[in-house]
Amino acid sequence: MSTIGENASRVDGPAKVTGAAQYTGDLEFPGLVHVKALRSVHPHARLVSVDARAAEALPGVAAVLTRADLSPQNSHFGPVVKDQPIVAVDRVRYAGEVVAAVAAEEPDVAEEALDLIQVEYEPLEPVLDPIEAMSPGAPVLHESRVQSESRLDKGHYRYEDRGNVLTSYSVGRGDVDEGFVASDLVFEDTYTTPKIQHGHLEPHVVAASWDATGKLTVHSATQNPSSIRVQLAELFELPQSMVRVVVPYVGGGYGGKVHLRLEPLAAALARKARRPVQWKLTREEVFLTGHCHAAVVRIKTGVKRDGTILARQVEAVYDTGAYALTGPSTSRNGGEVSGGPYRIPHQRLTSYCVYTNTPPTGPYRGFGVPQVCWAYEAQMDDMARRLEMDPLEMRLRNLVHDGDVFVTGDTLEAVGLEDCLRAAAEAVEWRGGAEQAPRAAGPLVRGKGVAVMIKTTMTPSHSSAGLRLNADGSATLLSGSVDIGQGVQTTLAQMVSEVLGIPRERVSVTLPDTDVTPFDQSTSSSRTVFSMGNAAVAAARQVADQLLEIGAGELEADPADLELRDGHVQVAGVPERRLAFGDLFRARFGGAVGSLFGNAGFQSRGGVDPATGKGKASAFFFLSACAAEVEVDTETGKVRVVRLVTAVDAGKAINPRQCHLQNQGSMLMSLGSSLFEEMVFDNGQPINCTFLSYLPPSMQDHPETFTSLLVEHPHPDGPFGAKGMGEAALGPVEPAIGNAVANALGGSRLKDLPLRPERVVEVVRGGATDWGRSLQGLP
Amino acid sequence: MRPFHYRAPRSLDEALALLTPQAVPLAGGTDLFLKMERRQTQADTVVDLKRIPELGRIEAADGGVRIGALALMDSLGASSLIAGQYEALTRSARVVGSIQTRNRATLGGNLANASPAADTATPLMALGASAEAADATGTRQVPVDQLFLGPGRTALRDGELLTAVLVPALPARAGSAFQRCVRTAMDIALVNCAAFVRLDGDDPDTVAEARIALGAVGPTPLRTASAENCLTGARLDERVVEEAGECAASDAQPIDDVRAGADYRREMVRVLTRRAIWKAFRRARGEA
Amino acid sequence: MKREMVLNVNGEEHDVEIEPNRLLLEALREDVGLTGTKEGCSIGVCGACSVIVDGRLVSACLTLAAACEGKKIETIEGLARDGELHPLQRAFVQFGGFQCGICTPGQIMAAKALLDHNPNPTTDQVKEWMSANLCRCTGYYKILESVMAVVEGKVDEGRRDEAVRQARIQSLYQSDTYKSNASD
Repeated sequence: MSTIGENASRVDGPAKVTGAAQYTGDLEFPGLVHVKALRSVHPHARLVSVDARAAEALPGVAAVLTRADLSPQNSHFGPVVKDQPIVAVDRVRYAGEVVAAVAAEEPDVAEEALDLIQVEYEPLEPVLDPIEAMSPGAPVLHESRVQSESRLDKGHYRYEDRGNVLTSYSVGRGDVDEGFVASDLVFEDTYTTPKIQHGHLEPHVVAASWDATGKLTVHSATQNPSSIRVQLAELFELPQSMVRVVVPYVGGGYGGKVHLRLEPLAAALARKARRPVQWKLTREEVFLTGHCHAAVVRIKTGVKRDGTILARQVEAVYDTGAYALTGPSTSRNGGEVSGGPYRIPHQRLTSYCVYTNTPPTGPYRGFGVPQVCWAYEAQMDDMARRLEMDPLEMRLRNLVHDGDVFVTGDTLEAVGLEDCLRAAAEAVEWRGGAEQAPRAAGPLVRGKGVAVMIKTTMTPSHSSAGLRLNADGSATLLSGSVDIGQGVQTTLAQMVSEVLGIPRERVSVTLPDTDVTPFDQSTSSSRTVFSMGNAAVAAARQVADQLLEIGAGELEADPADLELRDGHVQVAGVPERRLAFGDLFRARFGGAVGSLFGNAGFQSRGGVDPATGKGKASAFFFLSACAAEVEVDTETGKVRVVRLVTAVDAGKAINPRQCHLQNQGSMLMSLGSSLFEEMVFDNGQPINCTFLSYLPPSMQDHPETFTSLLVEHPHPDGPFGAKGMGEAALGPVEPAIGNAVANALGGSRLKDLPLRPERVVEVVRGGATDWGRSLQGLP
Repeated sequence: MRPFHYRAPRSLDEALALLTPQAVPLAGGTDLFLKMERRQTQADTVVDLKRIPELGRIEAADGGVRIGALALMDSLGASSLIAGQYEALTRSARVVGSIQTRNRATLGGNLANASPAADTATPLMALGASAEAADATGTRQVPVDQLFLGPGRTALRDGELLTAVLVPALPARAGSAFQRCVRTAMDIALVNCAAFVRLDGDDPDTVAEARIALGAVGPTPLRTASAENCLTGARLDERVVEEAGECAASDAQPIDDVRAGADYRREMVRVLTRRAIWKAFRRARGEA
Repeated sequence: MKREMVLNVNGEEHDVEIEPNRLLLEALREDVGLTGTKEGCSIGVCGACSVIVDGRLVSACLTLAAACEGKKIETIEGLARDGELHPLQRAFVQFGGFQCGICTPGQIMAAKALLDHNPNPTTDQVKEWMSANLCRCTGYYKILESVMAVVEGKVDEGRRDEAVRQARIQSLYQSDTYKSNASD
């Protein structure tokens, strides 16, 4: 009974439906003190003085951390460049930046102590817009560029040495200028996407403690324990073995819990207080701790009258906020695929990572790709309309296929994109783009749209796994992949069970504890099934080989003639000739004792050369399509999504139900950012940091038809052909909805997300259709 | 949340005696605790009114209905004394927040909090309701359209408690409707509008009386006299309704904020007013 | 100013000593020790702290513990009886009505309050009722499906399949050689 492709019930189900599942905030530690942070009220200011004496003297306060406690060498951290201070040192660079933190017996006492900290600021002019930040004369956030690159991500980026531009990426092929000359029509548009927030229901939370041997233990709601351990070891000058990172169940992340966030401060404060500390953010603070890069994307495309795309030039500016975090990789990731999943002979694609005085960004589901997908897929529909072509046909005419060489130099494999697009379009009864749905009663109009997306995954990257088979035929997989909701314990158990021929219930998969679980680069980039899956399968095969070898001896057969099935080794096709694993252990160890071990790593190879932008950009490519039908109230501007369908090429769906959940979650998240979500700032102050004003979609905002489709084009390098797919459905949703709205409005286009009702009303009345910022002044 | 004393009186008299200047009445708490978390109130005593049974009743009175200030939004939305009669009020009570909120939030709290966007305020204004206020010396009535003085400020005096809302009997050939503009299902209204229309006894197309109230487009919920004048005595048709919408839009005093711009809000006043009038009109004619 | 009081949670009386400003959420998690009720937004809009008090669904983050004295409080920990999951809990597992699980206790309590009050809701009624129980992982579809499975009596079908599967695994592992090994 193969379990690959089975809708196996989640192993964490019973714990999660009974309230028994423990998350970081549910853990108890003896002697725990609670942390509260004092945050800057200025988006940009010189920090003149910080006086915490009165706070330190308050009864119940265990310790206060300010810049005075930091050593100059180890005050800053970051996964790419170490530009982020543990607490603000000489300057604050966004409203909400941590200036000091208190650990106290009770949260209320810590809160009270914050009021006693005296901070003197000298306000500086902030720069809040990424385009302004690029212009000469703009206030510069990081005067002395932090030169040292972090150990994790060295040498992967092209650094700019001017102003607020940290890195840039560019890649191309052919000659775009000639391509535009040879084109019949050239389109040029600018599209924008705002900062949006992950909205994981569990706020960031961490607990840190130091033991008598000087070992640091951190329990954290993080997506990447292994790389956090690396960075904490570096920051506190410890061997990695003296840092232990434990990750219980994590209440959602979507990129928002990737890399160090609260851990450095918590660790520093615990060391000073000599007590375990716990820091739970409030919802408002979550909004200040990370969000998605806002982007401004200028795209110029030349086409022939028959709809063939000849040339495309893209300049994408990513606003990384006050600190880089993954900005260099996010913007590169977007830049690589900003031409879209199309065969375009002439391309020049450039992206920039730019600092502004806004809260730091970081990974967000889609990792820089939805921003450019919004641009190239919106423009695609506008071009089709001008050419009087069906937008579906125009896409099909230009799509990439198996064996095509992508602009980065990658040869594309297992490309199921055409199947995805056709399936999604069919599911909304696509009848050609020009034909709008009949006008409904009164002010309501309907329209349909489609969109496609291509995305890379983190490459190169590494996952290691350890497998132990016990004498009773049960197995433990040591994996450092985080259960962030995707069901990793279940999916990995399915894969191991398939290799070992034991029921999946007999495979236990650990949650991360870096004292026990080997290195795994990150639970992000939809890489776990592919990378950890490959490592787990390889580890399981090592154990399987040992079983076959023992079985061959006992059954006097060639190992090649044996198979593992139902907890037995048996001669293939001769089920009578079999031995249970327990007998194999007895043969090997003389009794029902001992363990069989497997240990394996999976390394995806590649990466792009920062100088040329070329190389192997991705171990596999995400490919997906979306079709949407909307109803627009032309009087109120309100858009209702009636049907939303995505189709994703999963390679091979190990657990289809979990794949559908990943798709459906991506779809609704993206419906939110299409229609409702954006972080709003007033002079650099974020002003909608609550769920009441940020407006995540609820069950009532759900489309009537909500369909996730899986297409399976097995990938040669994936375990059982599987590819990552957790982010795939996200990218094409925004442009599909945008295209459906434009279709409903007779071609009027909104180029800026979200599709706010007031903008829709403006467009209906024939007003401005472009709130996009100009890219004049770009190099 | 800062520390406070907690009192849970069992009678109105006991409650009124506890309402010193340092005390704050607690109804559902859905607004109060947020204020306390944000340190927007200095009160050191919380007087929980939920254990005073008489304050929670919804009962027929003088041909109309008397709604205790502590009546839950959920009870209000479900009340058969209100549904079918005061349609605008039923609709508004059913859309205040979530079921979790409607199970705590009270009508009195929604009004006394004096948010310009309070969903129940505009229907009560359109229906001609009055608030009953009590203090140690006695009770008085304040028309709901005179209750609000500004954001968070009401005509209630120090030591005075809002005890009930009195909705007059619905006249014959009358109807009401409530409309709101939100972005998500859980959003606070960007604009809301309640309309009350009574038709002429002889001519069912002519409006004898109209009251239109607008929410979230000024410092308080407000009546739009010009729209009401425009309707009164007029035979209702597209043109008249359009004009009433224009009048309402010009009476609105919206501001720009994080939820929407002033221009958009004004435009929505026009749209919602029109829609509310037509709905109320159809109800008055017994068509809906 | 701490005061002793009794909170009746899931049918059990808990003596707690708490300040008047203690929220029900804090009292449940820290004084009673039941951490299944989660905090997501602290302003009563995300639904993660949904509990039932005297039959009404409320947000524990906007409810004073003191106001619940003498009332019947139901939390996620009280749903399973004698090790047997509540039909809603079984449905959420069988139909995949969760991912990260942090909103799940609130989702299930909201659904329970609805079904206690109306055992036959339509999907639209479920959507409306549960609209303040945010979920960022699932896209809601399978949560809705799980609740409707209970309404439509589909939960036990899946249960039979699962029982067959478990019986097969048991038989495999109890057959021949395993038993003999166990005695070594």
